[in-house]
Amino acid sequence: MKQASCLPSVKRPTAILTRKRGLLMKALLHFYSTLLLLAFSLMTPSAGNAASTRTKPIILATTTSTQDSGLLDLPVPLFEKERSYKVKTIAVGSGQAMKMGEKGGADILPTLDSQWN
Amino acid sequence: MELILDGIRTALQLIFTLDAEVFAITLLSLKISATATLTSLFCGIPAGVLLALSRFPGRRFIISLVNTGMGLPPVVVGLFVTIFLWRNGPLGFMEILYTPAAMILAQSLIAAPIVTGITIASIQQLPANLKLQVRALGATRLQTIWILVREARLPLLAAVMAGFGGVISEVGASIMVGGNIKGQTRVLTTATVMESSRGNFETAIALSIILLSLTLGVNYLLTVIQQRERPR
Repeated sequence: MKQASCLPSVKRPTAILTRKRGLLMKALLHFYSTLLLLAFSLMTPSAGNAASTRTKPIILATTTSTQDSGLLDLPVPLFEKERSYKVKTIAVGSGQAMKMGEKGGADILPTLDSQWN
Repeated sequence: MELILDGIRTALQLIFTLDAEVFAITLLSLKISATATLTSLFCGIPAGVLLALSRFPGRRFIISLVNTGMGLPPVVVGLFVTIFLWRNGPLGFMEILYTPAAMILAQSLIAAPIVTGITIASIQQLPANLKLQVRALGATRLQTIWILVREARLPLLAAVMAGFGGVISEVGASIMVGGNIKGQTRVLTTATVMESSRGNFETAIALSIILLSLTLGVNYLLTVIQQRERPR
């Protein structure tokens, strides 16, 4: 017991690994949120112009892991409130999200695709 | 085994505490699938009666198409409905993708061949002399059809059950066309898929149990109606 309190960080070998993964996740989340903010700010000018489309919902296509991370739970309701838009979040594979954006089926794509350049 | 017991416990918890989200999801499932079944009945029964009673070239081919359609994979329906409903798709102007309306449309397309196929079979299994007799007694064409449909009402209830069972349990079309949006298009099946993929197996099992009980309840009701009067 005494030993455990002396060396709390090596209690379990996996603890370090988890922390490392946590950092990676954090970095990823930062990256995602920057992208997201960029996407939202890009949306803003068109929101000012087209008052008639205000009732149309915005489709946000993202990957399941992004949605599961809970990252979208903060900015999306904020945006909905501030811009009086309705956002429909669709969680799909990244390939499908990209295709949806390409075809004009989705407006915001907080997603990564290694094939996309 | 422990997982299943945990799932049953979670299910009971969710049911008896009247969990608001689960309740809403269950209600939405029921609403969408019931509407889709009704829509498919409105299209499927007249189409089935027509195919069962009329004779025209290509009729056999159409009936075999219908019979194939009874096993139509929901994902295939979902894929085509999604592509049609995209903003720049042929039906994009309707703007119903990712809404319950789109799910009703897809589920109706899944249930319609099932209802049509069973209607054809149940009209054709009526005694052939019945039609002749009714016509001989001076019934008009419409009256004849009405009497035949009424005679076949018990097997037609099987069509209702099969159609409803097919659409409430499907997930492929619902997830593609509805998008599994929380509070808007999330139904029992899509929520089950999501919870399993998140590793929340207890919740997934709980949702499955709720889905099964719901289907059992509806089918029990329909069976009671069907068995109340035994066919002579």
